[in-house]
Amino acid sequence: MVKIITTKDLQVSYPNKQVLKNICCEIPKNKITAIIGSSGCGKTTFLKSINRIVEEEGGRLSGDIFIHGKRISEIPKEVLRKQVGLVFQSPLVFPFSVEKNMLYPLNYHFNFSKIEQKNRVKHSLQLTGLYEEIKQDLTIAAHKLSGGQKQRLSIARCLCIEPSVLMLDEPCSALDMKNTIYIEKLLVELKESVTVVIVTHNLSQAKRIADYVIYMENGELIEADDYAIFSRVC
Amino acid sequence: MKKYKSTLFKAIAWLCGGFVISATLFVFGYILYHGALNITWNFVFDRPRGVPIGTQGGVFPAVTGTVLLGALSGLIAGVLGSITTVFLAFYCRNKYLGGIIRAAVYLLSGMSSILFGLVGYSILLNILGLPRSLLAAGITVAVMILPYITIRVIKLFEEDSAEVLHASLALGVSKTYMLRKLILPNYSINILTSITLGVAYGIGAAAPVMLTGAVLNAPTPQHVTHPFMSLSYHLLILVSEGISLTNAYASAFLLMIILLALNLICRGLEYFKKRGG
Repeated sequence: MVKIITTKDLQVSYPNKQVLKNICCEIPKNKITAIIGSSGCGKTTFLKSINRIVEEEGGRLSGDIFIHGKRISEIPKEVLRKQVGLVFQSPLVFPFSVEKNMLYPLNYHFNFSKIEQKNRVKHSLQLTGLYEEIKQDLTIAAHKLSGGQKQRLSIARCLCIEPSVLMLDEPCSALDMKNTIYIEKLLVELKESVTVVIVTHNLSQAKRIADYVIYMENGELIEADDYAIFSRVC
Repeated sequence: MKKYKSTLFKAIAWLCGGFVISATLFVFGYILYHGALNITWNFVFDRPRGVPIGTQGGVFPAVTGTVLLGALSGLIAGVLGSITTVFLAFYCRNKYLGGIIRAAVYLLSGMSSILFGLVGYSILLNILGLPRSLLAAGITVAVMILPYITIRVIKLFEEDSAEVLHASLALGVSKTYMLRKLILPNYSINILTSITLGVAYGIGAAAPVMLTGAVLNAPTPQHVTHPFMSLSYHLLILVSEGISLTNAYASAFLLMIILLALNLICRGLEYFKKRGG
């Protein structure tokens, strides 16, 4: 197993609460890793600690996280977050057009020409299947999209800056079955080029798409294994 | 019993709503009725004349002075208020410091306008040696409306700043880039609306300007260090000194028109934002 992320004795605490306790695990490269566990067990905090968003929320991180063998504290936050994209539970689009939503991170990280920008935006939207649905007018206000489209736009916005890891926090929790299946298919296709880490409450979903599973309870890692773990936790 | 309680509550709510609307219409209607009758071309565009001053002539310097006061105080309070709220919402990591700033803002919002006038007079005129001027009055009014603007904008940011902040930072962009490309363009109209409403509140107050810059009679100020006339102070003098009640109503009418214009600008900005969004 080629690993891309490794955590050693990872602990995360907020002023009044310790959320993660001594997490040691490895996340395989170009696979879909599902993080499962009951509500409040620290799954989301685990994701947010990998790209250090947890620190923006007042959390304190100790222990080590390595990405590509490098300690994340040694990587500038902006570079780290470009490498490790995070899609939130509720689809969050910025109050611009679809095109501007895509250009927002793109213009920050790259100095592309207009044509290169256009091609990158188109390619990322095509990956998520959104391009075919809105290609007539990319200047449409993003908030006018449906819930499923917004979530796919969030994913496309992450993908356009070419992260090596895409983390998703319950991306389908607010979506209908059709959109859920669409996103699951997308993730399976994406794992060829990107490592996917997904937090989910839905064990069936984890079974359908995950290659590797991390099972957490009360801020602790109970088990991390491949698909066979389900026979024990389900 | 439940149905009875619900009907009673609805009736009280309708009554309160009706009272608020009636009170507003009465105040505006009363000033409109008494003031509009005395509005003439000469009154709007002439300077005050007669003995005592204000019995004849017009209020043109007071109108321009009020507009300039609003612009200056809006500029100062707008810049300070926006920077304070951006700091509180996006940069302040120290909870205690944030708490202290918020407490100070709320404390300031509860102070009466005459206290601002007194403090402005003591610090700006007596200690710093500024002349009784548009600048001193502008700074005093700016400090008075600062909490009003800050509280409105803080509430605006609090509604979705955390979500937007984290979603934006998760894309690896810096906070400065986020402010420049996302926050300020998106909230600029809301911030402008808050500033405009703050200015409307500020220019209506006589107490902060009467000790710091407003005078009984002066031409339109050519410089910020010149004294000026303000409609609110002019109105106060006309009534309290018993100079001319008819001119006082006419001055109140003009002040009301300026306030209505500012409110219309706010509504227009909000409409523009909705259409644009």
